[in-house]
Amino acid sequence: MDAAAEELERAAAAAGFHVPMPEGYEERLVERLKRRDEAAFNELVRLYQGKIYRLVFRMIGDRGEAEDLAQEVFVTVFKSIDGFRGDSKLSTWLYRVATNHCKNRIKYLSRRARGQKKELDEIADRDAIESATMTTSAQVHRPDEMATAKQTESLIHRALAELPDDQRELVVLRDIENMTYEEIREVTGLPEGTVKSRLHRARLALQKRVMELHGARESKAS
Amino acid sequence: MTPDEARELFSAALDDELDEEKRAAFEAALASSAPLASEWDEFRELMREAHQLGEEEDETPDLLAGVQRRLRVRSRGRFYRDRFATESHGRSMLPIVLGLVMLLAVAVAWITMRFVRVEAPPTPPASSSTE
Repeated sequence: MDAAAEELERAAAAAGFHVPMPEGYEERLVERLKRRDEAAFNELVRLYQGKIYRLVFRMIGDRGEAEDLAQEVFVTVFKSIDGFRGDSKLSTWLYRVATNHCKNRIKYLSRRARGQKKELDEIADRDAIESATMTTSAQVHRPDEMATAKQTESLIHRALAELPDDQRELVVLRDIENMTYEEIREVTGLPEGTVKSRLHRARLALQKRVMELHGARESKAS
Repeated sequence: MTPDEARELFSAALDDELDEEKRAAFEAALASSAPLASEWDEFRELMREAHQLGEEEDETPDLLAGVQRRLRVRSRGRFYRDRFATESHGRSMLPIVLGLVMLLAVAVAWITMRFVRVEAPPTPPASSSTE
């Protein structure tokens, strides 16, 4: 992919459009990565850093940790690209590396009893209207609606952080990252039936927790 | 279909994976129980909001410089050792710069040929032998 096409891809992705990669681009990129071509690696980081960072942040719930971990994901990719056999898409493999890193980091953080909700609590406490520039809140125009949308977002973030790791992973991949069951199966290595049943339990648990948090907030307000 | 059985189908219904028969039974269960229908609406709304989180453009920090630094340190300078390699566009800018330099050279040559007049050498004064 030449520089202009790459620039177009980035601009389109930033605007929320999905533009398919040119035919054979991924194979050529992987070949260059296996030759440890630094320019190819720069290209890879620029293409996927947004997706990987967001995934990691959803899983970890702390922006500082997420930035550190997302960088580690790319370092691992650089070191172990020879192990990529091309059985799945490169992006799927990247997601797999990222989710494995997340699980290890979550275990490490819980061992340190650091807690995972620091950043999410900050999100919850942010001024609902001033920070309402993101899509979810931006889709409503009245200040009271924006505030409600923002509160719901923060409740989802908090409830998500309280789900067990294996459930949170599936909600993030399916309901937030909008991946197909086939892609999730490739990322997690779980059979599709297990993915579906675990995801169903996760969604119900998320709903229950959001309702509880919502109830607690209402009673606190009154 | 009992409310519990219907609740077990929430995810499948959300993913539109129910066959016609199950879909009909599911909808009948919702129609016969207002609390279940309300729970289903909340479930769908929550999932829609979760999906919107994925469409947000969070401020993603630029990871490239940090990744390059880590690789340079861990490879003991084998990778990303020179200044140009660590710059995001270091390599890809070179052909563009060369192209611009060549274009400039051609433009200067064209301007010189088009606008700069070369004075003809002065003609010698007419000789006196013709007189």
